[in-house]
Amino acid sequence: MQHISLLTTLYLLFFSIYHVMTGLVSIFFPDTALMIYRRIYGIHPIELKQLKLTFRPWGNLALTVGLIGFVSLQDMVLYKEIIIMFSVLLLIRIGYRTYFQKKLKALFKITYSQNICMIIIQLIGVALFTLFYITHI
Amino acid sequence: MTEQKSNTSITFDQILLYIIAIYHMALGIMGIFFKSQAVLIARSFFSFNLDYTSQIKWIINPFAAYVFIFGIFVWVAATNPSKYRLVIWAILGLFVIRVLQRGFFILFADPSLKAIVDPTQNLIHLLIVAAISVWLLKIALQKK
Repeated sequence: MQHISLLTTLYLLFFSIYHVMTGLVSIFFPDTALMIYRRIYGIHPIELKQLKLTFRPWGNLALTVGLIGFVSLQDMVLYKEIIIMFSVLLLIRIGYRTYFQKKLKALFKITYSQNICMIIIQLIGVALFTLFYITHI
Repeated sequence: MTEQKSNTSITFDQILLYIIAIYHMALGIMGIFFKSQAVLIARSFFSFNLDYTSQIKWIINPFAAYVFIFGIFVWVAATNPSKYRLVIWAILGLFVIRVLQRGFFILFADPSLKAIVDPTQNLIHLLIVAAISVWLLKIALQKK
């Protein structure tokens, strides 16, 4: 159980840092955000004007999710109801990544292996958050 | 008896939080499952003229997922505002940035992207978000 808590803490820490960083960059530097998403997700968008404008509200949401992650890190048992909701977010992300796999390749040139890699990272998060919640009910 | 009533009854602050939660969850679900309505949603809720390209259609997925989960977090916070006070501060942060983003969008965005050009209507939208921010600040500052 201690291993699960430690791994969940580490995952949540990186999850929160990632969301705060990408959130801030998306809000204030959409061009840099686009470059980062190209590197991380391998996306190659065509239309940029709308996309960059979408980054701002999306970045705001990502920043908030990251901040709530940091809040949860302060007392993970107290905030376990919040932590289990992070796995819901990851499950939704896994859902559309799986369902739209072919479209992702066609539209953004995201390769099959890049997509699988992201799905695995997200699945690990789902498993850890869920295990943490179950072991602390 | 009175104490018991105050523990079980829902306060006005909680009602406001539940409304914010339902609004975001509904918007998120619509974004995930009813993408054909995306142009209408963008125009009605964000004053944004969305050009519905195939790439934008896909980008709506992560955006909607985050809108939905934000609604869930607000819902959880609404169940016990004093326990989730720090979460309410984070929610407030989102609204404050949203006020700034809306202001920025009204003032500086490309006119072709704006669905509403009437300044009064834009100001009303902005004031609603600002009023919610003030109310959230009041909830966040409340003593236990």
